[in-house]
Amino acid sequence: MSNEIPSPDPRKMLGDFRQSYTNFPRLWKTEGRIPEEVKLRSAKDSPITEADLPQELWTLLKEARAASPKRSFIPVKFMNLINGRPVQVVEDEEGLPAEEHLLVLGRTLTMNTCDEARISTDILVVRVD
Amino acid sequence: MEVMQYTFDGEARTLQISEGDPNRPVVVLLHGTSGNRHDMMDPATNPDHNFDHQSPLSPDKDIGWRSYPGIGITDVGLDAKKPVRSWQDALEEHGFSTVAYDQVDPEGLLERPVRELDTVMMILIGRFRMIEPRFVLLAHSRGGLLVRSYLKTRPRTASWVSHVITLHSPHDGSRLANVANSLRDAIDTLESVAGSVVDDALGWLMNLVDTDAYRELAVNSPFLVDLRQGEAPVPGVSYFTFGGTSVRYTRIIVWHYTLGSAFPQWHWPPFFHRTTAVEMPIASPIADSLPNLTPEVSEGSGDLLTADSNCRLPFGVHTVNQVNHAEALWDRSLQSQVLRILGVMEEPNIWQ
Repeated sequence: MSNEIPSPDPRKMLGDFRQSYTNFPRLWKTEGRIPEEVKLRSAKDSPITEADLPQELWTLLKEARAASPKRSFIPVKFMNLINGRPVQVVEDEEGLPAEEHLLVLGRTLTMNTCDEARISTDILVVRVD
Repeated sequence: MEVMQYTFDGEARTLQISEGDPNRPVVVLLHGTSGNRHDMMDPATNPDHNFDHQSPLSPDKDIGWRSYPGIGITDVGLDAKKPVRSWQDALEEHGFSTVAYDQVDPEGLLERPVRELDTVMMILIGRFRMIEPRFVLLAHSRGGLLVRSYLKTRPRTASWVSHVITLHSPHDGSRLANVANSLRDAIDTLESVAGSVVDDALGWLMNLVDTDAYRELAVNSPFLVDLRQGEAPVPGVSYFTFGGTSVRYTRIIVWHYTLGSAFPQWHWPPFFHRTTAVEMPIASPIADSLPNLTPEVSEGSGDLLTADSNCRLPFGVHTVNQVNHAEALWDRSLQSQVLRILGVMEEPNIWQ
């Protein structure tokens, strides 16, 4: 019965991702200010390229493209967080693609010394057509 | 509830008496080794083994948003406890008077508890103004041997007894004392795999097996050999014995983060922690995961402390239930079976 660690349900996980999604440009517009430590950029004005991404995410994106060569994969949002706080956000006021058109790539790195504990998290949202 | 004082061997002691229908028998509730009156009055207090090992595991728990991924195990524990109905409550519900008390020497030899039971019976005969035998001796575990020794050696007060009902009493002894070292090794091995939670679940077992009381009940011990010699059913007394064949006490539950807890969300902070419960492989459930050293600790043969085959009397009616040694203190089906013996029909609640 219950000795197995449950397998992930990918569709449900994407559903959870959509449900907890926060659009930061809209949020900060409402609040009237962008937090000081955040670099915010529009993906429409300045599209996300390989140079913006950590190597591992770019490699994963290339794998996804190679697996489905007839489909288009357009990065639409990118965020880097340090210790859970956004420091770089590339996003517009549009929401997320629908589940069938959504690809999410993530990477987390940690560093721990006596003086510092740091978690760096990168998230890339890709529209798949 | 009336608390009645009495003196035994110079010590002040008490009886807990609940008054019921005077037309019904009086049930004297006798606990086993290492027990006390709570075993029969409030088993959630003692022995406190009322694990709910049959209900589905708890649903996933939402912990909340964190700045770091949730990975790995968050907690290891045993099944939650469930509410249970004691023998005293079950009998009171149906109008029986009950008597319960803390026996002397619960971990020692039976010599003093037998004399104490004789003292208690003399008091109760006067208290309830009996004119005919109307005492039921309902005994759990070693309490059954206490009853047999008392009936054999104290015929005067024993003549007031109408029924003897023993629950999981090792009338032919228990082999646990003989395999104590092997049992300890098996539990230590399990603890090395599953951690200190095993001691929480089974530490009491080793404490029990190490007592003089348990050694006195070893198979073919001098006490048991002497008890059997010349033992005969007391005229007018009906004997009923019950045995158990389940060694399952509790599951070991591991709570760990769901895989989704390690996936970052487009949210500040980005990780939503959620935990899920699974049974620990290999070590759970306890005590199924112990090796079958003796019938006492083998599922289908024993109840962890006694083997069903050793819980019978040649002059008694025997019934087997798939319950463990502690569950004999509250199992509803068992209680219904005993109530039926005493002339009361109670349909067991299959949902409990």
